[in-house]
Amino acid sequence: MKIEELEVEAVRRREVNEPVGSEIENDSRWPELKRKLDRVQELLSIENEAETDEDWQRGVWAAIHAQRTEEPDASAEPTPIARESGRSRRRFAILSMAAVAAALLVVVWSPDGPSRPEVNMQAPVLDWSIEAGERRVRGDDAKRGDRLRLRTRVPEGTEFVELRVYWEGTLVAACRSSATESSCGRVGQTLTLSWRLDAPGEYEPVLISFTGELPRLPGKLEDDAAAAKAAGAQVVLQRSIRVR
Amino acid sequence: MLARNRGRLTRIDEAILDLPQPAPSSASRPTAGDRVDESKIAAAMATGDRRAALELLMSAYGAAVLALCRRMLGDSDRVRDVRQLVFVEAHDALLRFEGKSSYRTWLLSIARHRCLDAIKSIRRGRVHLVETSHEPSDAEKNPEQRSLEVELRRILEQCLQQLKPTARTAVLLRFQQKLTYPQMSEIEGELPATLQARVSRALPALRQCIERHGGSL
Repeated sequence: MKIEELEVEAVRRREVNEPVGSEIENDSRWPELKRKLDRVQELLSIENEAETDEDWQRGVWAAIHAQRTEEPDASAEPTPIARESGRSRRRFAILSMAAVAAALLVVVWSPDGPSRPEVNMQAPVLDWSIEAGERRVRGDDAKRGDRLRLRTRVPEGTEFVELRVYWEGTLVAACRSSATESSCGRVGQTLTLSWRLDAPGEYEPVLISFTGELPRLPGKLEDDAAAAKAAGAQVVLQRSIRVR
Repeated sequence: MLARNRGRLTRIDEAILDLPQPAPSSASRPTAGDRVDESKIAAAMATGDRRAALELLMSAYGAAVLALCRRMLGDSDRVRDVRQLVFVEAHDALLRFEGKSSYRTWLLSIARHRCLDAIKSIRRGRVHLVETSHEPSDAEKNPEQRSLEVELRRILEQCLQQLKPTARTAVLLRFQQKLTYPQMSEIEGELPATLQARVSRALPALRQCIERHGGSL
């Protein structure tokens, strides 16, 4: 047995609480290998640096406080980005109300009442906003450290909705309607994804909604959009956001 | 860019790709278990005192989150930011905590996600580090200038960065955080057997990398 195979097999057996077996035990290379593997495990378990920042918890509270105070102020003059976001939010609200009204009409006018399967005619809407950091940037650009928030309403009858963020055409974040992560979650019918813009470049927010099995997407914006559309999904692309 | 970077993957990256999947097994080593009495955190949440709950979480697990992120990122400038982000998100998410896992496992799950996010965003930098790591520095050429332990840890940090993020996470959750495979499964969303196989490949890969870089085990 090659030494690489021997140690992989030995570690595997140890990790499933099995004896390593006589073949390995009797191998003359094993005692030395075992000592080295134990040493690596020991090194992994040793913390390499003591806590030096005693104020770090204060920093967490400051960030939580800042997050609360950064909630949009309706009376404030919006920045160009916020203005677009504001329009999107209004559009989102109007479309949501229209959707509710349309759904009610379906229920009222349907001869079979609400038990009849409804066909979802509501187009998915992608709403996004930028949570600005401390430094202002002119124009529509965001800056590193800003946070991109995507939001959509999951239409009734849609099996899956996915929010995505691409950076320079490559997928960096995705959030499905079944997600339970903290920064990517669903509350009622609203699905949100929050993504910190850490790298300069072009970010593209995307919404994909589909009712069946979505094919595996390679993670490149153009390819993904084409494949999703070919599978019958609805793809909503927003203009890209430049981060400086 | 990504395609170009893939072409430069090291032997370790290759070694932990396409892992064989052994038969599922529930066997796992016993661990020390959770480090604090989490009932205090639950009690704080039961009374609606989210601030107290978060303070307990930060006191209990702040160091563990920092340690995990430090070794996942290998970038001290980013590590503390990520830890802060983890606890800010935990503050939001506490209201939705359903008690399906321990607070520790839940928190490490958030930490894992945020560390992986950070790894993606600094991928170019990381690849650069991997490439340069094959060129020994002066300090590497003269290990006697440092203690063996310090040198070994430095090489370990380098080698950890050469593992795929999924493999890196698995060995850290297993040997640094001392989680069981069922606990790791809750965090990673993968079968314990898959994680066992990943660890079984990654630990020898680390050993080989350390020795290749002159580390004396």
